[in-house]
Amino acid sequence: MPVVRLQSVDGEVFPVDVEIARMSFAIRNMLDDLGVQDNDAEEVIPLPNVTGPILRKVIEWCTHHKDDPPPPEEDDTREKRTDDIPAWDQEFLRVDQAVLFDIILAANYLDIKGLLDVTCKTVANMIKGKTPEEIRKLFNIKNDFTPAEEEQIRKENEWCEEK
Amino acid sequence: MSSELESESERERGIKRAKLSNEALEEGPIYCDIDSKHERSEEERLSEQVFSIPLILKEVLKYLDTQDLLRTSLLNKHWNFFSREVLRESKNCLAIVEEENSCRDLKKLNAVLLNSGTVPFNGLSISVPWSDRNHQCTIYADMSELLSNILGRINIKYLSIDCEQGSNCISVECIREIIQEKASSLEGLCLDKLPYLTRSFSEFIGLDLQGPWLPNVRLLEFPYELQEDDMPESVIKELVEASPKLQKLYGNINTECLEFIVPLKLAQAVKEFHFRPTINSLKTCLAFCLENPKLNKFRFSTSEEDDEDGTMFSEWRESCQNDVARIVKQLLISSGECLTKVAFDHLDLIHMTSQWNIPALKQVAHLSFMYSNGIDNREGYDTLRKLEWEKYFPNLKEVCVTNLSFDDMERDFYISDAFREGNSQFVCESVKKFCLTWSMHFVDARQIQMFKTIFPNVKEFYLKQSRQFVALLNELWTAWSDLEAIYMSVDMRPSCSNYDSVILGMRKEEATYLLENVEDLESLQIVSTKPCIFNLRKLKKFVIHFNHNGVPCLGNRSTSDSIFLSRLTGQLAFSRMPGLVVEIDRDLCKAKDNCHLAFNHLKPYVKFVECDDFCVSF
Repeated sequence: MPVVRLQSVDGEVFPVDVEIARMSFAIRNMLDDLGVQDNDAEEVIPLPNVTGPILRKVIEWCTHHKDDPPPPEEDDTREKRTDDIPAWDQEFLRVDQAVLFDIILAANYLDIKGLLDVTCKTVANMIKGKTPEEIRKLFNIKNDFTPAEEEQIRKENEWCEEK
Repeated sequence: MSSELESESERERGIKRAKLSNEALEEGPIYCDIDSKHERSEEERLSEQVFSIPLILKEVLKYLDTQDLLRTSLLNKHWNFFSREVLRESKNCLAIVEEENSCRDLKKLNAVLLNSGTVPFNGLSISVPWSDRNHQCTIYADMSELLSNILGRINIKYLSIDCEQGSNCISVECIREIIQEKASSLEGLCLDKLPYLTRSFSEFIGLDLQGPWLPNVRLLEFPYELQEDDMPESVIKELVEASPKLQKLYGNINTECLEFIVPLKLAQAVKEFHFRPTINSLKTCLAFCLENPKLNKFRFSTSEEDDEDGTMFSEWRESCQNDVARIVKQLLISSGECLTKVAFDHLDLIHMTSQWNIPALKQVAHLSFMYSNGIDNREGYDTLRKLEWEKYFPNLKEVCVTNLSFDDMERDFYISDAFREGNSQFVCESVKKFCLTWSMHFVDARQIQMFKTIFPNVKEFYLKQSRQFVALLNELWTAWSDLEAIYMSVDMRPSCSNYDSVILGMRKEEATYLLENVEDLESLQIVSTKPCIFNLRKLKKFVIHFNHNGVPCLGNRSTSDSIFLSRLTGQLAFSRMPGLVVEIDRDLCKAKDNCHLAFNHLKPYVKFVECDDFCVSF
């Protein structure tokens, strides 16, 4: 199996099967643009936005999902579910919040749709059913509304709720 | 210089993350040596970085439902902007105008919108109920200003109309204005009710609507409610023909509707279908099922209506009966993965499963059926216990039963000798919710024990049946001993009785005596002499929804013995079941605290809530 070498920002180098590396659209485009051949095993691709430990996790995820069928076409009319995260992914994402966010940033930078989907679903599950104050506390979000602005938002929102 | 610092800090963070994630992988919970102050700011920075990227934030928000998005819109300005964008782009987020006086409500909405920047709504839901027929709709001087402000602030993509009266009021005027000015931008239209005997939407709205006047509508909905009049086919036809881009058609789509749906090649758009076979419609129905529609809901009944010439289904030619069987089977097969809700009659349910060899309904989670205990009485056994429940409904979660009386003459057609003679009895262990809905017919309370045998694992019981309360509750106390929740919907009538004795398991006279003579109930110990609420040891939730339903208000009755529940139940039952939360949803009229539904005497023992219609229904 042909291999490419991915280098993290902290200098760690990971030899990865080309097919697995190509699950990242960013790497796929890089390989295509550079005209890198499958046998260019010495070619090192620098990834300046991803640290070694996070890159290791991303490679672990891609390796596990390498034989997945391509994701279905986006269908805005279909309800988006969050209760269908596979057990392996749930276990894989049982990490602290900072690591989860680092994986999201890496998935976004490397353009790995499946990984971005499952991490965003995980964050959505953390938000579901919580009050605004609980969500602010969970993600350290600063409230920049004045009391009057917040009251206006509440008033508007009340119109969407069953009375 | 600053960017160098940034990248240095990034590198440092990367090394620290290395420790974190290795530990996370191998040992689960993380304890690291980074001081907590630093870690907190680190997380804060990361969180800010992640959510500042619109693509990521919107990706997360798209997985939330409307209520969650309304909450995230309150976090801060950044989250508000994107939450509302997602609400407007990807959800049906309707401003609901449905108070007692919808016209006044519309004016209130206008006042809120005058101070708004961006709004979360992408539609309006306007309800003008029949009960509000005498409302005094003031002709506002600033009427056109009001409408132009509302229509200017809300980009209306979805419109929901529930209009039981055709009076010339502001709400109806608003609907007319939307149709006139915004019909081409509508993507979805829900038509719940129109005034009685309305046969044309154009006529109702007073506009001459011709051709494809809903050019961008992808979704049409005609909600169906049991015991209510159907939306006329002529109105459904009118709107379907006006919507050339229609993709989804929900609600009361019946056999007659197929006469225009099949020629328009819209079989794939139909998501809910009510199949009431008639001999004349068989050809169209066969053509429909051959298009392989993917239904979400399917209702089927052969006993609901006679054919045009008065012939019972059992008397049809065998070839026509076989055509009906073929249509049903084909629809169940083509809808396989999408079909989650079905509704059948008692006799059809037996007939289909015992004689038609229908496929297993693997995705069906909800079954509604009309049950007639007269059939069981005449057969001399519980017919439903012979149904192979787990073969045909392997994933059934909710069952909703309406009592009905069927013509007994047809029984022998639907129930074969082989079915009668079979000795096997079956249960359905997957069902967790059971609902007994409102019925005009007598409800034999003993059916609760029979349903308990068939559905042994029910945890939530819903009672939307205001008659035979005493008998039904008395049976319920000893049915599902592991019951965790009871939801009751009660129509409060002037003749309402007191039900303390039923809840507490004592005689009515005893309850009346205690209420009239014992002031200090707290120190009173009672021993129930009959099954009662205390039999349900795992009960965690008891929710009662009281409906006013147009009954004249009787005023505060907290001292009267005709009140539904008195402080006796509150003190002697509710406050003595520590694991139980009792919630009361009151449909208060204008009299507010003096309304006969105020139940303020129960305040110390219950939570007053406002909940949505909680009943599982088709």
